[in-house]
Amino acid sequence: MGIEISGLSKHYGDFAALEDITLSVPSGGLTALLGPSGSGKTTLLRILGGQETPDAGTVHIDGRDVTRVPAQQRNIGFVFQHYAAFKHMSVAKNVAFGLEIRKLPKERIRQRVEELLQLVQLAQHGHRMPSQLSGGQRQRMALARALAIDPSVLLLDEPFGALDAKVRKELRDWLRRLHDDVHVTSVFVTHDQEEALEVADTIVVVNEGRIEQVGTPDEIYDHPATDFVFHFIGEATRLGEVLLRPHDVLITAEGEQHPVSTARAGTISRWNRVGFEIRLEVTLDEAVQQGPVHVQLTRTEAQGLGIGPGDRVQVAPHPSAELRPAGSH
Amino acid sequence: MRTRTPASVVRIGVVVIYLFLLVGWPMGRVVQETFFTGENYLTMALADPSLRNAVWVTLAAAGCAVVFNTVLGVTLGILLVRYQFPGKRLLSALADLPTSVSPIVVGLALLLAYGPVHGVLGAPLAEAGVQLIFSFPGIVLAVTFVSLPLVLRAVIPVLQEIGTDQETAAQSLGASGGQVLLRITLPSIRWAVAYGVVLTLARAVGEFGAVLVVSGGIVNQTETATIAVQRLHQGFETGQAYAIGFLLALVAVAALVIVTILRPHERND
Ligand SMILES: Nc1ncnc2c1ncn2[C@@H]1O[C@H](COP(=O)(O)OP(=O)(O)OP(=O)(O)O)[C@@H](O)[C@H]1O
Ligand SMILES: [Mg+2]
Repeated sequence: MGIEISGLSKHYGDFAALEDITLSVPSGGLTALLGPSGSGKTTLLRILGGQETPDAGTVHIDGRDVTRVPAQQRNIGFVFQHYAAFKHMSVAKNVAFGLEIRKLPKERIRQRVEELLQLVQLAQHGHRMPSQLSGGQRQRMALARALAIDPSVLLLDEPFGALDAKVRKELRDWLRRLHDDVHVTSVFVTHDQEEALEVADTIVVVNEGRIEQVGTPDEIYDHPATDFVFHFIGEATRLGEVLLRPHDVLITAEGEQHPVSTARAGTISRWNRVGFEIRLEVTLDEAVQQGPVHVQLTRTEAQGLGIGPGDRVQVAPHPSAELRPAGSH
Repeated sequence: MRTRTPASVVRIGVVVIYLFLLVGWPMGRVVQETFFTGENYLTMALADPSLRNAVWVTLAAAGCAVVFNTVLGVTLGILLVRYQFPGKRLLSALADLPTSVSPIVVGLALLLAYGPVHGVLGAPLAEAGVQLIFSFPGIVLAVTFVSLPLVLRAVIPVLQEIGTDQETAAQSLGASGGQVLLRITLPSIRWAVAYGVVLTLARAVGEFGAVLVVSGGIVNQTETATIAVQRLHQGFETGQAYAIGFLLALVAVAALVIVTILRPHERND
């Protein structure tokens, strides 16, 4: 059950937006489609939603072949980046739309709308127009509207993309909690890896119209299947012959005993503080690589190590770090 | 609001004076001549059956033009903005033609096409007993022609601006094509349509040249208000000419005021 996608392709002229996508989205989960801009995330979502037809391949939802079923008969909730609020209708009318189309009795509609507005914490705002809501509130309204039809699948295309960082984070946590309550099979598109790692049960990493890896956030982060995933899902740096995460570089001041015997010596050439975090660069003495080594530490760690800008240090990969052989770059 | 500086006061002053000299004062003179030169020429003019008929012909023809051009403007607007088809740019350019061509040329063109003597279509129609030119249908044809793209041009930018997200959302919620049109698209563009209707009405009511050619201006039959104004003016019944002129202006102003009053409720989004 859930969504079964097999052999899906979509071309725009000569350009392949999606190539032979086969994917199974488990029922009841919150799945993130993660990938860079232009990778085909929206195209895949629109095919699932029925706004676009694939050139080849099939889509099954809960066991039913919907490849050729028009959007209006799919019973799928869709949430857009820019809310797509019906501007000429009140918030309550927006939420009621799908139910009115289904010709439910007035009283039932009123009750259901009230429930949903409660669920998305907009109970006080039913009579307002969408223009009188904040961005975050509008998106919650859009979510209530999509949930009103008891969709078999909820699709969200960069639902928080238009919001500022703080609201975005709040809404992200809120979506996670909502999903734990409602349990509708959901697929959301994002190009923000942090968002995907934090919210999703399963992450599907897409690149240039192909799937790079499918897995839980931990699997994706700790065991990236390809170099692309490794680079895309978090920051990466080179240390001699290997690639690793900047926070997996062990650093000590020169003269201290370094726990790894093969540590290389160098000088701290840049020192940047971003909030609680220190990002620094170490230029190695030996010319084993082109750029410097990037290292991330917390401020407390840096203080404990007694290092500062311009200091002489030694660096080596953490013994338990996930390492990848460095390519030519 | 920016604070008022001497320079901005001067700028506003220049604009106000310019508009007053060009629009306000001449229009004010019409009002003055109509009501404040001894007689109330408006009641006098409206007591004249031939003038009442002229005003009626103008309003009826304008009403027809509004209906035709609204239906055409909305349909063509949706077609041009939402669909891709060959010949689309040509069609769009063609729709603009009526406002760029001089009305008198429009009149002559209609005469050639639909006239009872030379008209390609008109001659056979005349034989069948249908007279388009020198009758009410001809007037409707002329005013519809000259005001053709006004609703279309008002609707297109709004359709482009609202995009397809709302329509897609409605569809995913189960709405059929017709339901999307009635519940989403049309309500979203209703102020643009209203604006286009006002412009169409004003243009159709005020049309002179094209109507002069195709109507024949037969008093009590095919004479429109604008043609009557010219007849009265040339016949030295200037008071009544001003009165009808005042009425024509009133229709336009009233329509604009209605739209201005209705509009702000929708604008703040
Ligand atoms: N209607 C279309 N016609 C032509 N090319 C298209 C069309 N829609 C999408 N594409 C192309 O397909 C590719 C994938 O687009 P898509 O919108 O799916 O990317 P995306 O992953 O959602 O990117 P973003 O993160 O920027 O939204 C892009 O290169 C885009 O230019
Ligand atoms: Mg996209």
